[in-house]
Amino acid sequence: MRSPVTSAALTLSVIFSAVLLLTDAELWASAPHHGYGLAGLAIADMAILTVLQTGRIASPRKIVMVWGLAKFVVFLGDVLTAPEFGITYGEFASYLFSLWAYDGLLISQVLIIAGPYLDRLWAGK
Amino acid sequence: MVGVRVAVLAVAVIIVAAVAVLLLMPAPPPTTEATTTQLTSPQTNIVSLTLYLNDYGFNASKGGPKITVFVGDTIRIRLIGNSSGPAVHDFVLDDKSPSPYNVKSDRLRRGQEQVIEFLANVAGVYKYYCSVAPPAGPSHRERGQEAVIEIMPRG
Repeated sequence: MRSPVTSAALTLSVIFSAVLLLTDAELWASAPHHGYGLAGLAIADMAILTVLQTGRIASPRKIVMVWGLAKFVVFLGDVLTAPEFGITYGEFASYLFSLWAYDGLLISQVLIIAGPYLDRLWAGK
Repeated sequence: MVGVRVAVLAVAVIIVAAVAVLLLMPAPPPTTEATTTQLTSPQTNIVSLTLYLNDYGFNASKGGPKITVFVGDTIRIRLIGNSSGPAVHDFVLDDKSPSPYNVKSDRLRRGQEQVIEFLANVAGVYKYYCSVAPPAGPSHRERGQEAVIEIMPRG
């Protein structure tokens, strides 16, 4: 398997996204466009995972890091959409962080960012 | 190969930007039209009550008040969204209650209000509930957001 840590992190990201999409009632009832966005990101994760495994990109380190960082910012930035629901940023942050799948999603993005370096350590380079 | 990497990076940035724009788009405001059952008799009592749509109960954190009326009464319910987070809730009395009624309010966020009105024309004991549910996992009803409405025959 190529880039085992990065691949595992991308897989975790897809799993946590799927859990949120399937079990968070408020996601679909209150903000379905957030749900569609999350589904799109999960699909992109799977596409990147596939590209990573096929080895079509010789050195995907920077791409994967930028991808993970951008998603981390987007997921964390979701808190800024609180006024859309008529609640405060603190209340929305409290709600989001109470979801273990959301916490896992953030952690998996950190793993994606660090993945290429961990993979190099893993390979002993 | 550098060209491919730049292209993939550009596509990734475009996807993230598109998703960010999608996330920041304001949701359309819910409509406020009430679901009303047509009145068939001019001689009816109007039973008025207020229900706060809490997480995950009506006027409570679980369950809700038992509503008791007579056949022929008009039930007028003022619904007030009172969730603690981004959740929305509604009031539903339909075939899944189960009941012969088809009453469904809008889904209300905290601070939103709606008045619904319907005629209690079929006697029985039914459950009213919140219909919000994820594709999998517990619905609001399964979390306890349901209660009883009893419509008693007159005389």
